[in-house]
Amino acid sequence: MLSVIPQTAVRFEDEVDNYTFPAKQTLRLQKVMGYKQHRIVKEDTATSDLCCAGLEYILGRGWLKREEIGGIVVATSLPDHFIPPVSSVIHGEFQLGKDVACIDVSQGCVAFFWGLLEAFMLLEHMEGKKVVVFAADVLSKKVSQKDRNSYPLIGDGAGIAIVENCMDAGKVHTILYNNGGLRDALKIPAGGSRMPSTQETAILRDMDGDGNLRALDNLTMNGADVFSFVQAEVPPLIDEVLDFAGYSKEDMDWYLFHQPNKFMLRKLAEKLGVPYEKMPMNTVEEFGNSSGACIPINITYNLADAMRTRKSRCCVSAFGAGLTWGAMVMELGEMDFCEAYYSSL
Amino acid sequence: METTKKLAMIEEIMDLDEGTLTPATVLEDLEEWDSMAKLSVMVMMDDEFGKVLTGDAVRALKTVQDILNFMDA
Repeated sequence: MLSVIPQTAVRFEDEVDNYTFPAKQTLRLQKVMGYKQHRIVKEDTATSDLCCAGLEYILGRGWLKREEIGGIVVATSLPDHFIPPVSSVIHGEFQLGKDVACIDVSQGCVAFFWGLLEAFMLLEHMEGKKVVVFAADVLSKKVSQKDRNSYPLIGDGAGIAIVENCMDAGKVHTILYNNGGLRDALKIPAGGSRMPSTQETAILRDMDGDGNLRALDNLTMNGADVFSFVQAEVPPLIDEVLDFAGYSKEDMDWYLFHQPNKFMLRKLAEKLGVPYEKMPMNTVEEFGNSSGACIPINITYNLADAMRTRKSRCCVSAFGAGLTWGAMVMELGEMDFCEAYYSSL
Repeated sequence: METTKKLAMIEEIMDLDEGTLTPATVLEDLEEWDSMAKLSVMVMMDDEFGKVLTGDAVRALKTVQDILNFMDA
């Protein structure tokens, strides 16, 4: 597993004046939410650039051979273009064989989770080959810099996992839920077929009358709705998936959750009765919330040694746009590689 | 729980000096009543009072009295 980190780290304190709020009030956010800095790609960096830099790094170190690749899954909410898919861009850049399957999955915070599920399904039909899963997003390009609701926490990045069949591997127990009735809680209103981007959709406005300025082209998040959804739905989901897998909470070595912010994760840990040490929650302060890339960034940043040297029982959970929420119980470890690659992108 | 104690809890959430709030205080008039304060009230209801405050219910809160009512409901 590899994560690809953008070069530029922007400090929260340097952005306090972007917002229409008094500085003192904005700085309070830092304490509660755990904001310190976030990683943002350069203006000309696209989603596929993070993916290609990572794959080149992996191939260059001999961790994977080109001819071993049977499929490419890219899970993202912001592809380079509507057409072609990012997976095709990567396929072309690396001049992969014509029998390599390419698929993009349109997902936000649950992207890595969905990417893995796609890989598992592809592997049913690919004996001896490997599937490369990319969860990548550059959502800083879609968040208004004057939206204090979303901008301080957004981060860019990619996570890459090489997945292959292993006959003696343990089961992966998975539960995935959806509630499209809440789909407006996380949304980019304009730019698609419903509302094409125009000059009008680019105008910054105080849409909710709360001092946050954004355009219809920007990502909008209803923080209160997302928060109450996560607190209500995720704890019972974890109970259910552990029951499904036949484990108790104590049996898990790690709880590897999506990383929205420290505040939300702390509350989840408390509600679940899981010690903070088993649920790493320090990545938002270093990298920001990189949507679907959060889980691999978390693993490579916090657990690189553990993941290379031994096997651990893990409960992986992601939740976000859709709204979608899911959890997996599986053994992770003895990886050939697990590191964060600090790119120049 | 006494009303003064409940008011103190709300004041703490918004980082206000003790005695700043009365039940009649209009939330929108407070600079501190921001998205963070709203989330904190949701958490307080859950942690301290075992009550689920939805996003819609938070947006419907107009005065400090509305928060107090929800605590007692």
